[in-house]
Amino acid sequence: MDLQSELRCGTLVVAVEDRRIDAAVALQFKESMRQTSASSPERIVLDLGQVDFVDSSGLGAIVNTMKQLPPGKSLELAGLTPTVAKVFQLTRMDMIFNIYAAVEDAFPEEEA
Amino acid sequence: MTPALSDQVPLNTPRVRFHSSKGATLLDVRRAMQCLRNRLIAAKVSQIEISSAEIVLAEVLNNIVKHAHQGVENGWFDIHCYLPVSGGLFFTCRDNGTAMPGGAPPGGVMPSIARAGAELPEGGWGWALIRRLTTDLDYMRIDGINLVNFTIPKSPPPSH
Repeated sequence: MDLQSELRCGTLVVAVEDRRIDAAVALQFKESMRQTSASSPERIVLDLGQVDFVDSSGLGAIVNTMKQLPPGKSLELAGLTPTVAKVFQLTRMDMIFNIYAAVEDAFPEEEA
Repeated sequence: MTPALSDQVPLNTPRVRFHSSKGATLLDVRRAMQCLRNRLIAAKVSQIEISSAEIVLAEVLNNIVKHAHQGVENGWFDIHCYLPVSGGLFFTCRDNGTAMPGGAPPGGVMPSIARAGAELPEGGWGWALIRRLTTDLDYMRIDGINLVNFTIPKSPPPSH
C-alpha cells in the first residue's frame, strides 16, 4: 500500500498511490494510515484521485481511519473517481465525510 | 449444472468467463475483476454498468473467499457473464464453498449512519450494495456447489 504524504499549508495531504483499496489491502491501508496520522497535523486530506476502486472492506478501512483519529484531528477526502464516488453515495458515507472534487479544492484561500 | 440459465439468457449471447485457481485468494478476486473489466470494456459495455458490476462482483467474490471457503480445501470460484442483446449484464457465480447460512443470501439492509462518530459502521454494506445494484438475485445449491445468479440492469441513457 503506497501512501505519499505531503505537508501543505499546515494540512497533511496523503495520496493513495494504488489503484484499489479492497479486501486484499484493507488491513495494510488501516495500519499505514494509523502510522501516518499518528504524527500528523490536525487536518488530513486523503487524495483518492488515483484510486479506481474501493470495496466495502476498503470503505470500512477509510471509516476506521477517521474513527481512530485522536480528538481534534479530522479526515477529509478528495478526488473520488466515479466508481469510488458511487460506493460512497450508495452507502451514504458521502454524508459523513467532507469530500472535495480535487485536492486543490481543499485549499480555497491559497493563491494560484 | 445451470438448468435455469437457458430459460433466461439466449445461449448465443456474447459471454465472458473467469475460473480461479484452486485455493483461491483475495488476489484471485482482483485478477477476476481485472479480467472481467477488460473484457467488458472491449465489449463496449457502458461505464455505468461496468462500475455496478465491479462493485457487486467484489462483494460476491470477497464473501466466497473470506466466508464460504473457510475450512474448505482447494476453494475455487468461477464467473460467467452473459451480455444479452437487450442490454444489461447477466452473471452467474459458482463456488465450492459452504452453503449460505439459512440457505438464502442475506437481506442486505444498508447500515445506518444515524449515529456518527464512534458508532459509525465499518462494514456490513456488502449485501446491501449487491441488492441495490442487481435485479433477479437468485441463489441455489446444487451438488455441493453454490450458484448465485443476478442481473445488472441496463443503465438508463445519460440525462442532460
